[in-house]
Amino acid sequence: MKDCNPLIGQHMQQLAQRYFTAGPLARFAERYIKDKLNESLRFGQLTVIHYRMFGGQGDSAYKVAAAVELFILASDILDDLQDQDAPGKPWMQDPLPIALHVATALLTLSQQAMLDGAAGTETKIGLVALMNDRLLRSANGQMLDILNEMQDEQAYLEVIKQKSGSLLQFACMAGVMAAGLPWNDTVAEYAIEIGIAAQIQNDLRDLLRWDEKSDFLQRKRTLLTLYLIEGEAEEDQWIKHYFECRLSTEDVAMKRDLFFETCERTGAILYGSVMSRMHYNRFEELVDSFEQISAWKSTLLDLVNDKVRY
Amino acid sequence: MLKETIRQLVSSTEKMSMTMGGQMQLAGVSAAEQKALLGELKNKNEKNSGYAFLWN
Repeated sequence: MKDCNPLIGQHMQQLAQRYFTAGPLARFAERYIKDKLNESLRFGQLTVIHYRMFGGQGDSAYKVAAAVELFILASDILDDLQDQDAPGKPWMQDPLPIALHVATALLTLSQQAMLDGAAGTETKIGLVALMNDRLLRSANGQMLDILNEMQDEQAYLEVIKQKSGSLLQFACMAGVMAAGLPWNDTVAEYAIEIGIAAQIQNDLRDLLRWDEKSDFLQRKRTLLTLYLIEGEAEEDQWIKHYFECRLSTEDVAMKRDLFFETCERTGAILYGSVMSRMHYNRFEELVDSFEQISAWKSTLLDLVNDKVRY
Repeated sequence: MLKETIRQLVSSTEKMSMTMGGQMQLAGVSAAEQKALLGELKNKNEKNSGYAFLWN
């Protein structure tokens, strides 16, 4: 199967070279894009596969996918600048005004890339409207996530639907609409399910670490930390006390092994795995029920499961 | 209700074994939750680290 990452990456770099006429802006942007290209471009791949699934022909899928990935790169940079927890990334090593400026320039570039990539005025308008709508939803979710005020599971799930689900909807639906078709409710629904399942997987990863990205040490409210806080066992109350700031980071610094043991013993890890799997199962059920894309089912599932690059 | 069920299961080896053997009624747990729970327990039993979906 053809790997579309090089083509998407090539378009991202060409766009930066074309529109960033100030030398330093182009250089910083190219360095950030190069870093991004070391990762799997799964949002862009979802755009390309949906374009093909819905009958799209030709190369405009890669241009639209480049627009999607430029947006994802800009939001990754802004997310890292907000959280201050990715010291290895190039944008975290550059002066803040520069990183911030490049991120905002990439946001605008992603919109221009969408206009350049889509064929036909109606499709261009539809895609840019889709882009703005989904990205505004994601921005709302991101704001609530930064404030970290979710008090219960329902509130948390609503936030990740907005924050993560909207981006997955954007990536998948951009492919559908670039192929000249209208909004598709089934795609919209299964994209949200992928987003929720993926976010819970990220939460599991960030629960089981003990560094600057640890959700526990950062007192970050997630499905899993809420599960731990709600535990009633006397021996586990120190976790709740830490979230209530009745204990300091120094107070819990030596409790790493105890914390990991508590995650296992209380069922927090099992709960997270079950919830993620349930949303993934729903995604699979929706794909199964969608006859129009039955020929693409195994390719789509492999792509989502990272078994293959499309 | 899924949360409470999981808290009960991890605190009782007997209940966990019965659930994995399909002999335990999971009251208040939806069919979708049950399917995901049994899938994860099977994974755990087979010492797999988790289900295959890893999007990070």
